[in-house]
Amino acid sequence: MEQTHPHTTTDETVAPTAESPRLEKPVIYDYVDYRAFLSDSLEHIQTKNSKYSATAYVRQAGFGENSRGYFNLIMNGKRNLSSSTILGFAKTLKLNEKETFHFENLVHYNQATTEKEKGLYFERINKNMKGKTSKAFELLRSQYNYFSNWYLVAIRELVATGNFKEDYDFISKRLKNKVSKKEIIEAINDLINLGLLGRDEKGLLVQSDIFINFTDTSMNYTVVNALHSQMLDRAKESLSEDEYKNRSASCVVLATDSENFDKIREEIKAFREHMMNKYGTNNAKVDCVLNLGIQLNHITSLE
Amino acid sequence: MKTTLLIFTLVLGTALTAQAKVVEREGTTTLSKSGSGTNVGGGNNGSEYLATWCRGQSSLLRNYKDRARLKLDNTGDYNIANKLLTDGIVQALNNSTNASETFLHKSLVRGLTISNYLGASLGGNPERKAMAANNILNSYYDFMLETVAKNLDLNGKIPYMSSSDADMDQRAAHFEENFVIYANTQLNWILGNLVKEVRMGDRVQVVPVGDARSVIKVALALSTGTASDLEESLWNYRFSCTISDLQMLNDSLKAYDQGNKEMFEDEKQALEYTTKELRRISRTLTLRESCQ
Repeated sequence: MEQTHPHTTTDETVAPTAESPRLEKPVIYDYVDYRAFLSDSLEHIQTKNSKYSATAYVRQAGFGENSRGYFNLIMNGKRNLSSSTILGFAKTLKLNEKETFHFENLVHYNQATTEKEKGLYFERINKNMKGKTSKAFELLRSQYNYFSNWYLVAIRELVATGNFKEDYDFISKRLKNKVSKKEIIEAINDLINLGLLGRDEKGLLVQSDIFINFTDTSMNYTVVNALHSQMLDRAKESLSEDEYKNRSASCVVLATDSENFDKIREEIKAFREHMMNKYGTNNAKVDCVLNLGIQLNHITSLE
Repeated sequence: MKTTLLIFTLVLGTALTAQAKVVEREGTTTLSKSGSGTNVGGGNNGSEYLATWCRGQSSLLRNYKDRARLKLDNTGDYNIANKLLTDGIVQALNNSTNASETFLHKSLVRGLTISNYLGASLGGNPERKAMAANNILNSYYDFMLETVAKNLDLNGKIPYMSSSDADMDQRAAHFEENFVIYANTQLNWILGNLVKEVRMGDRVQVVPVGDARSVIKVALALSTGTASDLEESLWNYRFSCTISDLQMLNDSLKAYDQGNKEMFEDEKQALEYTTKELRRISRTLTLRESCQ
């Protein structure tokens, strides 16, 4: 089941609990969710001035005289911040120029609705974080990498193969020399950071779970678009690089009712789960990693 | 077995949850020999997902409504039919992950409150009361399906959420207006379906469709709900008088429902007053005026 955590930072050590009032001023670089930063900052202000209310907070940020209850709407993700209110909060919280720039990018990153926007603001945040340490950001970077680089998914599966060795040349070769040693090292670190890989008692890499399932309802398409795009590139390369017996490309082109689109999408979803359950278990040997990609798209414009 | 990964908010505050399914681990050696898999869906486009959810839950609600009607035809027992109508709402709410932004979700929550107020979920109501509850719940189902899901969500708010080329300020203004429209539609549902005006000589009298007490209970649930809808709007200051009126109406009805007859002597009086107040409030919302 999916859960929504609009207030959650990924680093539990930086976010105080309700039982422990925040005495130290929150630092924007410790956060990957601007809403958590705003909430913690309000709590910090209130430790110094118990009469300071959420309404006063949003008013000071420029929401006008009649904005009672608005802070909760922002916290619940029901309202976004505009450019002027971003600067309003930055001023209220006395952020310096660099911190304001970071806060602004974080808000835009959290509120981004397209893959392009998300990528742009992530890169800005990433650049701004150079030389700074933050567990929360490290985790965010690993998440971002997981859905931006096809080989992280491939490496996690490769670990399950019988003859897997944590040898970068071996891994690179298995990935058809398309991934550098540096990328492999970073990928393994990211996978460990995300809890997708771990180490057994002998220190060998192992999968934390057999099956990983990212459901459609659990994430916005902008998160996974880059990954699917890269997998399509791999599939395209396979047509010219792989022997016929080792690849399969097929398609069905239909003239049909546009309302069938959702039905077909549901059937594809069930098919993917079926294939994973049937062929991802109970194998006598595991010696390869396959990618079964399925696309469904309109090749004519909709009327 | 299910594992929630350390993968959190990437988009719109939505947590990514990875689920490890079906196969239990039997040690790492077994694990590496049996196989594994990663299933990555295409994700959802907020509004597209909500539209699919709305259509799915509409279909589920229609199914429960039909089942309740057939059950009533076969058994003649309103309590059984009411229980089915309540189950439909509960079932739709159980499927409502990440759908709280929709009006349908809001109306489902209110529907459950109404059902509880009418004692429909427990059953055992006397026939007259059960029949009144059945009328109200059926009418509320129509309201959820036709007015809320179809007009307000699928043809209103959801397409608006996904439009990218519209002017941002205009979009924001429309978005805020939705709360007022929903609030007013809710009151109009009561006025249009649960009460009727009957001319008796020179006088026009308000009569309930069914049972006055049940209508009062619905007004009790929706007066506070409507105040909360208006509170959620950025324009809540414009409707501060209306919000206050709704809260006062709610206080009066609550007191009467608990046996206090200081304000209303009987159900007839309470119903007349409620209808008059709701009509006045609805008019102020239609005219977008409140404290004038």
